[in-house]
Amino acid sequence: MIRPPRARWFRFIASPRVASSLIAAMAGLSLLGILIPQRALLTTDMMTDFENSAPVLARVLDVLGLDALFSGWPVVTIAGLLALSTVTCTWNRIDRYARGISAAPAPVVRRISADTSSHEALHEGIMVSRVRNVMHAAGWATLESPGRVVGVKGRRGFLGSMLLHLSLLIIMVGGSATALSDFSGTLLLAEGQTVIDEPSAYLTVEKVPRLGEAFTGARLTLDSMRFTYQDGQIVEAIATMSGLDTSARRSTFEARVNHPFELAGKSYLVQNSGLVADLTLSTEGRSEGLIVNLADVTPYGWADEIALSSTDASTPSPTTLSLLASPVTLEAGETLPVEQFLIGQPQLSLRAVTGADVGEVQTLTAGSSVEVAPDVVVTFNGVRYWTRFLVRQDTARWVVYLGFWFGVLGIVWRFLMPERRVSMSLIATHGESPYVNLGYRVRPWRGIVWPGDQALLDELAASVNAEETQEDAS
Amino acid sequence: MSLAQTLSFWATTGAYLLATVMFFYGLAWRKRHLMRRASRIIVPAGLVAHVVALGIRWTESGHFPYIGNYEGALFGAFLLALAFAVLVFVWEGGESTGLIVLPVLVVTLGYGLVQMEAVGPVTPVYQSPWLLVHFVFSWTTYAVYTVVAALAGVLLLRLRAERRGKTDRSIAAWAPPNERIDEISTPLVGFGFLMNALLLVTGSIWAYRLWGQYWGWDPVEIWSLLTWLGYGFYLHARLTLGWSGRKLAWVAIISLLGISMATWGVQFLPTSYHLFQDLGATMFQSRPQ
Repeated sequence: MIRPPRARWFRFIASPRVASSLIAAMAGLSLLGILIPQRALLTTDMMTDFENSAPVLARVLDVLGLDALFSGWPVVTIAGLLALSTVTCTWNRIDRYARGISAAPAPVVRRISADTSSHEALHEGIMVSRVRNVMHAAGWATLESPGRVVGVKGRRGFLGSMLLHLSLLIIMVGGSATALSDFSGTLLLAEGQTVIDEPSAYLTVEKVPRLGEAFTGARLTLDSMRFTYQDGQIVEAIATMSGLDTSARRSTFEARVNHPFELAGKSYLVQNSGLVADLTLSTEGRSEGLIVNLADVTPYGWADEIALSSTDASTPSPTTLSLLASPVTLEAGETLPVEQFLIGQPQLSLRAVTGADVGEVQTLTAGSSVEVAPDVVVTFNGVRYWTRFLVRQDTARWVVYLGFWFGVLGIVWRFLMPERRVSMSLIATHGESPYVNLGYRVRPWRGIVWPGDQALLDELAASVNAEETQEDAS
Repeated sequence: MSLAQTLSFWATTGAYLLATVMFFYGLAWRKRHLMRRASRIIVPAGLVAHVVALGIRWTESGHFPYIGNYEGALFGAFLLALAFAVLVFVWEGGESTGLIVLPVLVVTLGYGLVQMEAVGPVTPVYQSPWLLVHFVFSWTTYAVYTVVAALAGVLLLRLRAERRGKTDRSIAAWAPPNERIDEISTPLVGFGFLMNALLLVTGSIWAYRLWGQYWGWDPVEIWSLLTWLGYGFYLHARLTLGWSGRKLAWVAIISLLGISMATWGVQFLPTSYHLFQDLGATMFQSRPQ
């Protein structure tokens, strides 16, 4: 066992004053985080408004890193010092534990006068021997000193406390590992679409790991989406997904909000959906399928624009198609129903714009076609869904979870395995009959007698004035 | 809101309000029997009405009442009233904590009244067993720590009365002895500390599954953590350093600030993941903006 240093700085770091100051500093930081706009908590628009309204202040906060209090130096410094304080304090206490049972008596709960009518005087050796026997029979560890026996049970409860402190360190290690190794991005999949986990598959990539690979090469497919409504609100949005990980292991899963699809170490979290227009483009006798993810939702349907590249040299301006799809047939001026993801008889409104030539709005039902430019025919096959996924890779979270559960286990352990201390001290005052102080303490549950200990206390009290036995005499 | 729900809610609130008025009237006019009746008869009657209100809400919504601010306040107030009733019946003089618990109880239900909303379907965001347990642990923590702070408040009043030599009057005379308050508070803090830890654990697991990160330095998360650290310090101070009395009581009261900020302070924030008003209302997209 390596003894903790006795240096002043060590005692200072391990002191409750430092710990409480750091907690207070964290509280102060949290208050600052409410008063000072934080990038992590506010939307981009809110931050932009702030930067426009107070550009100098915004710049100062940015330079000092105060607009990212919880992901920058302030929280790292405080958390690091707290970790140091925890380690030093724990080290001190392990050392104390390793030194064994202390001879300190427990608070007196009963004073037992020696019954001198049965024998001359209470003999110290006999008392110690009797008490020791009673305690050992009950499974208590004892420590004897002149005129006193101390019994202790449940010292292992201390390990619960250690587990709790260890858990804090594990959580901090896990948190640091997350900061170094997590990945965050979004991708959009249309029903039936398959992508490979590589940079081109992503709509956005917000964070790549500093350690480890960002992309796994796994193959991911959105097989179908299913929606259920109740009272005009979505109560089920299920993405049936399948995947092929790098070791060619196939898996399928019904992903929902709160139930991400796990594939090759990444979590695919369902975010939101929209409609896809399924088209067939026929030009010069050739046909090709076209899946258009409609990005904007309007009161009248899901809208987007696509540009058709021109192959005709005489018409240099490309044709742009404005698309507006709805999952059900709508009358003119009618808005989307509340249950906007229940597909019935879909409809597509389409307008072609070629240079200055703005075409008429044409309305198609599933299976119908229209010529949008010379020799270019668009057939509307129907609508499907696109779904946006938040993709996260954070393997280190399991370390953090482990730390969390260690903490819970440590608390339960500490409180359900209390350290109980019994002491019997013979007090022999000059000129008076000797008596015995019976002490008892439960830690951390002060003020109670732990179940089963009352019988031991009674037995110890009774042993003081018990008839002298042959064993005593020997 | 159905008539049965409305009636049961008002019966509950009315009982607690009556108990509060009786309690403070008794306190003002030094009539301990009024305080005892308020705590031992009216509050338990309110608890019965409260169980009915929760049962009706549960039956009509088809799910355990854990969605939205109204159901949160209804359930949280129930746990607080239950904790108070346990304290009153188990420890002599426990009713003195009504000084703080009863007003907090009425305010919690008052907040529920303001946020009262009709039952609706469970949207995808709320469909998680982790959220359910997180919710239960959150309000249990709130209830337990409020009772601990009430005990601490009573202790401080008593110490103040001792300093002035007026221990024969009012709360100072009726509250449990100082050492007893410390002894009652420690296991309560221990229990609250465990609930608080479970709150953080289940919340972080739910957060990852919903938002893709187990910890987002959201103000509510930070204040919950600070509360946990604060009461962890309380346990250290009590068990390792042997603190008791005034110093310990102040630690309990200051630490309550954390859970109060997490529960109520969030309402005043410009944005937080824990502002659930619009969550899942129209789309299943989960992250509030």
